[in-house]
Amino acid sequence: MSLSANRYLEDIFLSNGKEKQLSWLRQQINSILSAKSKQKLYITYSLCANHFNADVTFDLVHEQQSFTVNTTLLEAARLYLLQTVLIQEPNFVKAVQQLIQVADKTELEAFLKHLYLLPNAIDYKFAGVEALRTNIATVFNAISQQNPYPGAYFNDAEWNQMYLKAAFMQQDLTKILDVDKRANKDLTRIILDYAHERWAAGRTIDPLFWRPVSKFIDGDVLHDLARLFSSANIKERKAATLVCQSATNESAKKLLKENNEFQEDAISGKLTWQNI
Amino acid sequence: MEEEKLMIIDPHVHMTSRTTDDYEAMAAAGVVAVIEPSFWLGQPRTQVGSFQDYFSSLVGWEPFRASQFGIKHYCTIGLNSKEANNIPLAEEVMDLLPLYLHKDNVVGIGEIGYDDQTPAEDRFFREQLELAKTFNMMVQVHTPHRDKKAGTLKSMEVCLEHGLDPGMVVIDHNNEETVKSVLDKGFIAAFTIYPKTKMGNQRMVEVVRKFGSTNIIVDSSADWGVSDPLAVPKTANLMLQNGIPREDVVKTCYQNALDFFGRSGKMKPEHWLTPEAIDQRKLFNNNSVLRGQEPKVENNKIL
Ligand SMILES: [Zn+2]
Repeated sequence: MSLSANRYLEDIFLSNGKEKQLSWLRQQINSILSAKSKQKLYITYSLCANHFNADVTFDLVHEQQSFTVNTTLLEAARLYLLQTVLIQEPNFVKAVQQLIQVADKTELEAFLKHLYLLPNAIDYKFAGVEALRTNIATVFNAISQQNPYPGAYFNDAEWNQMYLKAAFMQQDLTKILDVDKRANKDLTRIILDYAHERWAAGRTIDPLFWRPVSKFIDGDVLHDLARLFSSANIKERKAATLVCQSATNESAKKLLKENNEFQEDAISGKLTWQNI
Repeated sequence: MEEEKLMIIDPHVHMTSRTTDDYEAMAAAGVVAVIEPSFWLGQPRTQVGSFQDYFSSLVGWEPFRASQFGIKHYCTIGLNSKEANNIPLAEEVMDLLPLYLHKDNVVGIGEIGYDDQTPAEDRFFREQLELAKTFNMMVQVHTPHRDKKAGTLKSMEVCLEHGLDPGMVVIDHNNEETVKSVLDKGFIAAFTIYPKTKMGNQRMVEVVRKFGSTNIIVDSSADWGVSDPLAVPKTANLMLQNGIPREDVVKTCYQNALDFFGRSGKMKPEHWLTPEAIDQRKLFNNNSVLRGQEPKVENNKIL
């Protein structure tokens, strides 16, 4: 997190005609920092709702990370407040953690979406992991979709829990970032177990779910890939193609040669996990 | 022809301490909305976390529970006078309060004021009045049960000293002795109807007969003690039986509370006039109010 991201938000406030509100916010920040007052921070956080609209949205683009997140002016103002205060006074971390504890659903979604942009973002990992336990889809999606936080800070067990739950809740798996980067052997086993369970119950699984198995192919995986190649569902055949295409395993390459229906599309980049 | 059933708002009731039977009975008696002020739970709290979880429940679980019985739940957030006397704890609670004031169902700061009229109570009452000014919020003032008249006068003086608009402050737990000065000073006067003791509802009929219905509000203050969550609808009916004009009954048992707390912008009649259908299959953090019963599902959708 850098001050330049901070200036980026300032530009957004200015281009939305919020000069007065921005100078109010700056004054508040100065008084929070000089008094080192948690209460002042909380008052300002709350009062932001009176100064910035919750119904004006824009796409916040993060410089290095090439991810965008749909944000309201109110959320951006609160993000700006927390970023600025935490950069200048890291001791506010406990106050911010408590703020997240008492967040309602809408606020929590905003925190989770922007977690990556907070200074020392790792300090908020508890909130990020805790959000995996919710059954509220919008909260779960706030941490799991279009969000670089899990890829950067979750351990394998946490990442796998998120990936499996996203599939289980039938959410859009293309929106999870860093799927290839965070693929791991244990996740491959989880994917196989889950697939077998579903098949045994006569149910289908999202073809996108197979993506992380590429680098961990063994006999069991090959067996399931062969099944996918012979599926009547075109998406499953495409998924098997993409898995084998990015695999280094020789047997997987051989399997792809035998089932080359979409191989060229995969090589040319016409077929991807995003457009399956 | 029977007149349309009255809609009732109980603007002071501690539903956290009440049962689902109460919610059912209140809804059946015409209660459409309640306001739950933060207060003392009988057992003094020793940790700020206990306050945090209590406030979170007032903006989270309790509105959900009320909605399962077709009642709209709002609350006021504040540090009560009794626990203001634990100064180190009170200071921590004061830090926490602002975090709740912007939440969806928080319509004011309350209930705050004096209990024994100690210096600590005075300090935190004043600090919370300043907070109300910062947030331009309504204030719900609890007046002491002992030395009531002096305590009520002092509460109002302090509000005025801090520059609050008396029209933004409701003074609660009035009686025949205090009501005149409250109304004369421009504050809103609320009356708590207690079963058996203190202010009974026959007395309330006489108060409305004498003082009219402008700026007067009836509430139950029902809590974990002997109290009656049906006090407002019962009083409304008694007023009608005693010949109080229907218009005055509507004002004191519904409209005045709505006009006052509606100034927060968060309490709106459409919340109960065009409600979501009750669906007891809904869950809050995976929890239900049901214990294996058949869920009540009201289908108000026109197909
Ligand atoms: Zn009370």
